[in-house]
Amino acid sequence: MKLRSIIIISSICLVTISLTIPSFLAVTSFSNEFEKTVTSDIEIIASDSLDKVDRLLNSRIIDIQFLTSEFNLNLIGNNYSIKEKMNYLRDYEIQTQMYTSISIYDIDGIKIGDTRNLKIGIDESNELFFTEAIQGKIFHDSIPVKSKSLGISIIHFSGPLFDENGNIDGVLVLRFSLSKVSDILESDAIYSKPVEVHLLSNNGEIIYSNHPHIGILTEVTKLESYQNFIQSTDKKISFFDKADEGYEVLFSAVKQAGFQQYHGDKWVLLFDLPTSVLFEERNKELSIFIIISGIILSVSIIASFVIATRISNPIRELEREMKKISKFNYKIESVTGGGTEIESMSKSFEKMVNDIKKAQTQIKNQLKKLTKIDEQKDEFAAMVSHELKTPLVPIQLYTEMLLKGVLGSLDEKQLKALRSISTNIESLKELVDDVLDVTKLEVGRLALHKQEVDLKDFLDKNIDSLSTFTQEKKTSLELELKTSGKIFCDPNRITQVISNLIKNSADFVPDKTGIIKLIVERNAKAITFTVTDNGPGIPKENQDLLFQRFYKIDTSPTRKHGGTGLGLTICEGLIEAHGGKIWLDKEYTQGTSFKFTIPDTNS
Amino acid sequence: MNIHIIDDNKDITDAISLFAESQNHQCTVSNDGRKRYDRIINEDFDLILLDIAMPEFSGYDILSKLTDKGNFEMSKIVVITASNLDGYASGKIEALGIYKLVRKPLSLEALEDIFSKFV
Repeated sequence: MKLRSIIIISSICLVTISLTIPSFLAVTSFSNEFEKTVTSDIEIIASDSLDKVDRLLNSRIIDIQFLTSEFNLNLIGNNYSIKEKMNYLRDYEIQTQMYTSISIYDIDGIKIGDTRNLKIGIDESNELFFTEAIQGKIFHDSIPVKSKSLGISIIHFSGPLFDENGNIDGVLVLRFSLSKVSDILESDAIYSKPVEVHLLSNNGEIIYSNHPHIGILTEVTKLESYQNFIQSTDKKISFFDKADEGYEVLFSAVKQAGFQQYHGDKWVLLFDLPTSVLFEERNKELSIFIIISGIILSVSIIASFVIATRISNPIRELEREMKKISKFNYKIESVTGGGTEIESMSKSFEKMVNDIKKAQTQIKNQLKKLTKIDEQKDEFAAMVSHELKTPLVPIQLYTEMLLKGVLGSLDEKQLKALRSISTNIESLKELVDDVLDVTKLEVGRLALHKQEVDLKDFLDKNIDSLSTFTQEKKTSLELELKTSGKIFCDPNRITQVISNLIKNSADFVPDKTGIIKLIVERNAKAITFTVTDNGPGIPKENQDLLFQRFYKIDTSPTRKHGGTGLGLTICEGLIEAHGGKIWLDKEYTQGTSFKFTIPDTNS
Repeated sequence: MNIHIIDDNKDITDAISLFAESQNHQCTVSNDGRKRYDRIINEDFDLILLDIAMPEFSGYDILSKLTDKGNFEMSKIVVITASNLDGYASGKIEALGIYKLVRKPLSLEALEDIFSKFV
């Protein structure tokens, strides 16, 4: 992941965790607390209101009990005329301000007196308020009824009237107007919010409503949640979804057990107040919170972008500069910005690049010097070889002339001495050539002159020239050519290698029974040359040192085998210069076996 | 046979001429300067043994002058050198049409071999 992305993501996470989450929790808690407070406040208002209704209706029962009491002499028997009785009741009505009318019925249910003088003489003997009261009971409607004469909702309170002997001789009816209930529930605002107030009986009859569209109420009362609410005994307040208006909700309080003496069963007080209105403040707070959170988040995202870019851009610039180095471009521009660390990093990098530049120049100079030294070494070796060989010319020629008797005859002692000189001249010549070869191989100035050579011709020539050497030792030299075709090599140099290996073997094989074989075969990608002999083999402890310069197995002054000790080193150098390999076959146990490969260009 | 040896080393010319004379050849030598070149041109030799690395006027100089001259019989020249010429350099010399390039130190056998070719 890119550094910039990491910074952006981590800073957003940081802001979210440190700011948004705690704020969210705080707001949620505030919201819950707000809801709880509001709900409990409404509950109190609702039960207070119902208590008032309770007291109001209870007072009406007390009213009817008082007026129909045997001791209320104003209404008993015939002490007062019906007109006087009605005047008394009219005064009572004015005093209480509770009734739309008060009526007296005779024992047959005929209205004989009314404070409003309405429908005098009407027979209401079938009405419940009459039939109950005439039996001596105090009666009241559980549900308001529409008054036929007044056309408004009223509750009848009735009781029996007595004569002087205590016998029932009529019925008193108080018509309680529900407008008085509305006085109590007049608080049509909760938290200064307009509220619709409905008082219902549990069967859905509307006792009171300050809202004209009561159709909504019947819908609510049909709701299952409303029915459950009515049935439950513990709940005092609940919310009801009004399906057709989305999430608007009604609050309600229910009077569970009726009133003290007035048995209006389970009246329900409904406050129709949508939550959107009721919780307006809370919702406003929530919106503000969401807006502020959004702003903080956006600001933090932008800020983290800016910060991340400010950090990552200089690093990327630095990276670009660094990439130049791999292309050997040392023109480095210093990176600014991105903070002190990156600037100082850039400076350190610049310094490092300068150091590299310096070091490189030093290395180049050093390399030039070394190349020069190598050249000088090569020239020196060539010079030394020339200067060593020149004096050998007369030495060799005179020695040979003496040996041949060109300069007169010599005795055996003199000849012996001359033969020794002659042998040593040969050794010296060989050494000079070998040292020159080794030097050239070391400084990499040995030039190969590769050409395509017919393998059979080439090897036959080699064996021919070497057999004169091996014949002297009566050693048999065999060629096993298992392939044919051409070989691409410097023939002189490969001849040098083959001759070196065979001469080495010839030095070690036993006289007369010695057998040296040169086996040549073609493998997957190379031509392999193997020189084996039936000599004593090379002791294990010496095997790994064979290719070292001037290494000779037998270094005693009386050693049998000659050589400069450079032969194998030169062979290795020549074969490697051809791209091949040379090694001692350690598995070979019947003598010594050297192998070398030359890459097969035909394959 | 009339042999001419050109080498700045007097010991070498002495030794070779001693052997050549022992083989009944006429032998003259040059050890110094430009005179060598004039002698080659002016005298009719059967075989010229020529050294390469000589001060002032080297074997190369002689060879290139002779080549430039055009009508000189190059095949009677045998180059004898102690320099470790690589294949390229020796090839270049051989390409001039000389009879042979022989490396120092050389054996009597080699000399005999050369003489026998020119008799």
